[in-house]
Amino acid sequence: MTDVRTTTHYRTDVAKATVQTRWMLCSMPWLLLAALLWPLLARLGEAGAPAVVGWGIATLTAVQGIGATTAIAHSVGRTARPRALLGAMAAVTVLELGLLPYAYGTGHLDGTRVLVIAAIAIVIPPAFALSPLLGQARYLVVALVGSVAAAVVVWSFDRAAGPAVLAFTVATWTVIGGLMRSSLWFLSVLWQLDAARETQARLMVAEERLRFARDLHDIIGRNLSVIALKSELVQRLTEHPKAQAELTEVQKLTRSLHQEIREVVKGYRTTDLTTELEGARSVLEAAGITCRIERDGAPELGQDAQTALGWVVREGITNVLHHSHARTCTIALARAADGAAELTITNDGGGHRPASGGGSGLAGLGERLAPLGGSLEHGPGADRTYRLHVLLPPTESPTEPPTEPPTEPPTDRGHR
Amino acid sequence: MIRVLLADDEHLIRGAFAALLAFEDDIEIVAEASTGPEATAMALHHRPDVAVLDLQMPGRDGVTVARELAQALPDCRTMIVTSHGLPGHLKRALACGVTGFVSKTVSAQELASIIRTVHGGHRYIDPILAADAISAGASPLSAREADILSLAADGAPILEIAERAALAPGTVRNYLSSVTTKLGVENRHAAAQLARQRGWI
Repeated sequence: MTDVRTTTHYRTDVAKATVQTRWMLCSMPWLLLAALLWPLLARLGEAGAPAVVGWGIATLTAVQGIGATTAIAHSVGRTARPRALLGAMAAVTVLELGLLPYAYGTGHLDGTRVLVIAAIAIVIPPAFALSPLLGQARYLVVALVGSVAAAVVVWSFDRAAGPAVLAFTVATWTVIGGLMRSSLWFLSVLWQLDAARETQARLMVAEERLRFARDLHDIIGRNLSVIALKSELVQRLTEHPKAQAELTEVQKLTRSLHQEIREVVKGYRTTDLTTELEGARSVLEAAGITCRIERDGAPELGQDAQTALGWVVREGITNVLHHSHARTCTIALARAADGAAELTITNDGGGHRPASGGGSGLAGLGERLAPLGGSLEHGPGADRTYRLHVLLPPTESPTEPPTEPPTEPPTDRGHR
Repeated sequence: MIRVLLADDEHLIRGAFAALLAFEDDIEIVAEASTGPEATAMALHHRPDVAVLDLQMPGRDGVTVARELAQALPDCRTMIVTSHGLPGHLKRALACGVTGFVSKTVSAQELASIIRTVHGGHRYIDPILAADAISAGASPLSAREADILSLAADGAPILEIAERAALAPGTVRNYLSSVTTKLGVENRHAAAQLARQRGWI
């Protein structure tokens, strides 16, 4: 229970940190713009500019501020990319730069300080908006181009203010870019940690479940074996036919239960044919049987065909293992004339012998292949070999690689 | 008459098997053992035709006993009975000359028939255990490494693994570092996860 509570706490903290960072970043352009606009509007008032000029500047700045805020909100992972707004911001920025010489010409704006303030006010919103959207290199290029443009515009009517504007706008772009980048990086690290923690918690549950299943298997499995054997023993000892029938049921039930528990512990996994072939080779070679795998010109196989041929390999190889005289085994996968997949398992150990106790697996294999249109034949081949041959017609399903168990890819933006 | 040695540390199972096999006319239980060393000693003394060995026994495991018997008593056929179908165990057993590999879910009647098969010079591998081993692909891990790694899979610290495997911590560390190198992963947790996914542990 403690774990769950800690996790919930933690998750709320991440959400809180996200909200706080978003508020902080969104409010920053407004604070900066307000701080710059105040002296600018005061200066316009002193110079006797009409009220409409002040309102115009304030409106344009507000539009820019809204654009910057929206872009920041997008970068903190909440809204869609604001394409239209970004276009509007670009237009407003160009318009503002274009209006600068006009404002200077009317005499409302004068002095290096005022020009620098105006230029910085113009570049702040684009800097905030673009820093999270562009890569580092592209952002720096845009920053340089924007700063040079502002400096050139100012320089065209006031030579003295040009270099100062260039220096201050470059500095503004750089500082804002760095601030935004580090804040977003910090947030993304936080999200990744959160996701990792969640994955870890899920893994821990899965691990614990498996461990429990294994313990269950070890303890219960042992006792199930004893129950099955004891009932078999009683069955042999009793003469009563009805009791014998009942005891057969008990044995069946116990063994199938044991098998089911084993399946749970083993878990579900899919394997592809290549893995099966490698597994077949390694098992055969452990038994001292040389194994050759030929798959030149093998057709591309769909998942169904791979699964079906996997059965064939497992059954065929188990069969080869049962012949202790086998020394070599060849597994050949090829494309038949009609495009069918052709799997041939040849060994030099002699004929098929039904597995003792377990019944013949090859009969069952034929039944499993039938729905896929496959055919199976087996019998002695040349040079005292034994040959298992399977034809599987091509399926329409495209080749799919075996699916790995789903894992959550770490994302740096997909926050809930 | 097939002379059989039964070795299993669980006396209930061993006892039931012994009682049931006694019903078979052609099978005689000449010795019973409950540990690995005992099984080896009994086999050397009684020279059975077939030794039926539990995989997990105190002292020495069934496969180790089978390897000893293959050298000391070349005429004695060995069989492993197990409830653990790890691919590494089957391969290790086959490499040690074991000719029977059977699941513990087997009935005594089936076991008797398998003992006859093995005694006749054939091999018998439980189809499900064989299929599991084949599906698992070619595991780069040795059986011992797989054992140690499965102990590590629960996230247990080295000292605890060493205690459970009855090894020195340094030895455990060596096994685990060889495992991580073989699997090309960063640490033992990643190794355990990968190995479990592939069915190697």
